[in-house]
Amino acid sequence: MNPGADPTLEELLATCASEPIHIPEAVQAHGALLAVTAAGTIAVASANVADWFGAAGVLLCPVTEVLGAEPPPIGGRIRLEGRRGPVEVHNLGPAAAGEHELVVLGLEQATAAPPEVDVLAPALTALGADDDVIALLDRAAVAIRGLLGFDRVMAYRFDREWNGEVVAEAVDPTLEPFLGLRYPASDIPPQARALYARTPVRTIPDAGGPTAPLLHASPTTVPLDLSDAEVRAVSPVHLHYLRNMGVRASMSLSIVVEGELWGLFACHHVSDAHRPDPAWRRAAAALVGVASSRLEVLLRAEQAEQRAGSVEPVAAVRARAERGEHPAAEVASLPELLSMWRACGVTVRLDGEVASAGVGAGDELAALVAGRMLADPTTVVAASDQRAELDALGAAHPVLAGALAVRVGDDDWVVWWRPELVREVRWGGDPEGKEIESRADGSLALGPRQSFAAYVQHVTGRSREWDDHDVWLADQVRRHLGAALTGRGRARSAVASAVRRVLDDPTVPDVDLDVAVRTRAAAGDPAGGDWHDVVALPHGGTAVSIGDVAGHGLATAATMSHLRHALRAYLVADGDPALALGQLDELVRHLVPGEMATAVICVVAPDGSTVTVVSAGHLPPIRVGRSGASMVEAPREPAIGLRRSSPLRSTTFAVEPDDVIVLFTDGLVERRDEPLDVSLERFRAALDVAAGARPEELLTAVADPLVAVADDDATVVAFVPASAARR
Amino acid sequence: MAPRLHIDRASDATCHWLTVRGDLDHASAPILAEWSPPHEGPATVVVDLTGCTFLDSGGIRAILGLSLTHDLTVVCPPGRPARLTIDLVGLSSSMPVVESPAEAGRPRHDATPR
Repeated sequence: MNPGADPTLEELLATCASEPIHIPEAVQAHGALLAVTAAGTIAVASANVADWFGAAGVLLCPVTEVLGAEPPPIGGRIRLEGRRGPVEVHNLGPAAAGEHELVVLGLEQATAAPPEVDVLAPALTALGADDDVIALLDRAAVAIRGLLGFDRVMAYRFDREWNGEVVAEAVDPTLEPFLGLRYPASDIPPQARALYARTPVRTIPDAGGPTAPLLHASPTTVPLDLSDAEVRAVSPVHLHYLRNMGVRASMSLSIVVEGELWGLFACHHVSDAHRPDPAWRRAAAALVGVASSRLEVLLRAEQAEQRAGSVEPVAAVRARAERGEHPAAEVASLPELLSMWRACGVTVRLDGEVASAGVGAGDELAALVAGRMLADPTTVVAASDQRAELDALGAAHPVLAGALAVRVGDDDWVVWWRPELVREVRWGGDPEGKEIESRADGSLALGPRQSFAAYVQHVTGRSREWDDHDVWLADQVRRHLGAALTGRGRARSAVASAVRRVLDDPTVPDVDLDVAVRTRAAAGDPAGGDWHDVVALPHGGTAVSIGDVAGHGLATAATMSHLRHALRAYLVADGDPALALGQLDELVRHLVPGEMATAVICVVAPDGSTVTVVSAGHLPPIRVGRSGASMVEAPREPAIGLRRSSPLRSTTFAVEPDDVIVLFTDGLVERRDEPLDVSLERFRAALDVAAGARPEELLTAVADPLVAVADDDATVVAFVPASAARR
Repeated sequence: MAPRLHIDRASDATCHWLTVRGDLDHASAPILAEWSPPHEGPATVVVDLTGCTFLDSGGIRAILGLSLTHDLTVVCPPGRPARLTIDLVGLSSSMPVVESPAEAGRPRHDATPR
């Protein structure tokens, strides 16, 4: 480190997190260590071994000679009589040492007879009696304290950010309880957590005690990896931390659930150095193992109960999405969609529709947040409980501080919102109170916290944390909504194809007319309210009709089909389009009052020389001839379904052989951002430019681009009246 | 798409006033179609489309539907976006279509000679 520049706190934290605590090249002096070659020669020894066994030399000596016995097999333990009393030898197995592999033996002075199994049995049995996580941890803490005699035994639980919280405690009544205090994640840096997960028991019998350095037979040997050695020397930073905390001896037992470090039992002794015998510590470790298994069972049961409780609400969400015409609104209005997540608001986008409930950021901001949180296409669920993150996403909000987003389909999603939750957190000392200290070599390093007095912090700018269950639930909803939408899509397309079979009526007479058609239902609908028809009339003419029943969906399509067939019947009966539309109007007002349709009929004379037009509330036909495109001004009559008192009027005009008549529905031309007459004029102008084209080419050039972007039902028919004469 | 429609509701002794702002289209028409009078009162309903920015056949259908159960008057001055659609479909054949709220009723009572 460059002493000329002051390192930042971040840099020091990084240095602390990268301290190589697994290769201290020393052991705590209550222990000793030997590393032995395959040939049984001692290659590495801690400096205290010679004293323990009264040997003159240790390095390069046969291990059996020094110990006076064969070492135990890998993983095994033996007790030997040393010069200073009994010694336990534990074979930790092979460790890499440069190009060689050495077998590492951990040695420790034993202090007492191994515990009888009877000592442990009642505690182990009792652990099975609790069906509450905290009660279980309480009982285990008491049992550990009873076995090992520490002043304080605490159960820590890590949160998602690895802050520890004391959730259970057995403590000498003369000491201040630490229950409920939190310790920041930086108190236990990541490499220390990794060692906790790997070696479940760590002991520091005397934070002020001596260490014994490792001596190597070969000066070129690399440092020995002591990850698995319980006797390895402790990081000076950690010893400093313990001293600041007033702790003389400590021991930790890892709580591992489903292979992950869930928490720790931390044992402290404040009055004096304290070293329970290794065999007793193993008994405690066994107890913690049983407690961890029991904990795993309880946590799973808790989770199963939580999950079971969500089955019905999730099914309700799915049912709403399957059934409703507007799935987003149906789903968003379900109260459980808020209560299950303890959310203050939710925004749902399904099938392209957005709906909200409760307090949320608004539809547009929700879309922004969902888009950004789920920007990575492989991300399915994303959560944030930090207001600053919402701000950064562009969704700053006075109330909200948390968002949980789940991807349902390509463009569909759900976002739950949570308000800011101001909390008081009791830390075991100011979590920011790290000390920067000067080292002997002039460099700066991060020191541990000086003060461990309880420190109350007001946490703002955050929502309640989204926990595993919230995320799991969101994923459930994702899968069920996805299935519901797929089901809707399938049902729709099945019904749609059935409807289309009905609508694409194969009984259209073989009329010899040069006609082209484009039609499309509104986005998301299987069929629409538009129709078109070509009918051969009894007197020899041909009727071309187009119409639009107001409304969307299958019911409207059914009404449309009904009307189209009725109109065809009226036209075939006597061939008068005005009469036919009048009869259709009566039919609608009597049989389906409240329905409305607009329609226009063009009847081409048998010789193809004239066209008679009747319009009921419909946009005017456009005639495209040599001289350009012009709207056909037919008398305006009310739409079908509105009241009328007089017969419909018609107009008849002469056509040229090349004239093309274009009939269309409003969905083809109407745009929300401009008045209808402007849209209409633009369409006419486009046809004007394309004048001279045959119907098919005309529609390809002018209508196809409009059909492609129409957001309502859109139909257009183009025909050459003169072509009817060839019939 | 979320309905971009707001309907202000007001009632007086003679009628219910529904003042439409925004797009009255297929998507938002149910909001109007599902309106029902808040209490026993006048059977006359005035739908003011002066502030309606877009009216399609779905919106016309909703108005027509209301006219089946209420005595309905539509307000829409010439030149407003909704007026073109109203005229195109000939809505005035079914119900009174007037150009200002004044013609629809309320102020007419104010003008009654004392």
